Amino acid sequence: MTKLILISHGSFCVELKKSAELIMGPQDDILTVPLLPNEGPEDFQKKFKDTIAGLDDFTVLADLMGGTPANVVSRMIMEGADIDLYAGMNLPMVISFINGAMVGTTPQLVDDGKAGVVHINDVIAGTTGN
Amino acid sequence: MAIIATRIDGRLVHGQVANLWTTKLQATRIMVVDDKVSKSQIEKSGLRMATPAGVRLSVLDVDTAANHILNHKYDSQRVFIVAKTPAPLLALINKGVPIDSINVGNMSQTDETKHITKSINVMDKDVADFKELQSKGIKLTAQMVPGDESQDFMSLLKKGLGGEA
Repeated sequence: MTKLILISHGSFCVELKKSAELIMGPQDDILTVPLLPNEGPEDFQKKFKDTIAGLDDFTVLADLMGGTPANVVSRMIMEGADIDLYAGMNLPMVISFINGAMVGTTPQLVDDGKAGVVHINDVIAGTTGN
Repeated sequence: MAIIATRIDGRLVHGQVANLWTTKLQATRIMVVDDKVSKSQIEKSGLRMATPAGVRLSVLDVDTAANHILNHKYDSQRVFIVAKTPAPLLALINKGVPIDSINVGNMSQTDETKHITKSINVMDKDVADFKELQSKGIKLTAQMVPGDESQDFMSLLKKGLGGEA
């Protein structure tokens, strides 16, 4: 079973998992690694490595391109680690992952994440009137 | 194919219905059956916006929904029926629509409701409708998300009403 690992500045990743569970039910295949205020890149890397120890199939979503959680994992990839890493995580991406696992298809994480970012007023303007 | 699942959900199309059940069931059309909502442009627009891309939506009153289904309009589709309460579903069944099971999801709390589970609250009218559905041999279950165990709804109802049902 593919695991999803959410990483973030502070508890965003922990709470994002809870928000996804509120809609989609319990998600045992989602793990979280928060970077806490008193932690540095080394602490974070240790926690991340402990989390992925023993996993062979996983995808990582980071909160912010260029931030410490994403940078730490980017560095591991540049050093040769075989890890799929995405940044800019949002609830639509997490839902996309869960649904992909549920129906057995490969989730389009970037497309689905972007599709969930909309100016709703434009959507409303486009749907009313027809 | 036509009707692949039927759910009672007071929120109609929302996170669980749009993102979870529709995907799980591989529905191609969500059919909301509600006499009031079908007459409100604003409510219909809201439902349309909540419907996932690539999935079609119908918001129909009971008569129109029954006519469309019985006239085989959706035979090549996978239709997921959603209603706020058991009443419109009972009406569909009385008109001959082939529904054999109903999953009771969310029914919200009001001053007139009794609490059955964390997410299910019923009025006296709902209780009567559920009993009639049961007497017609409709299988009533309660399952919030696919990962949850599917429970027998009438047992939950009886327990929730303290043996009154």
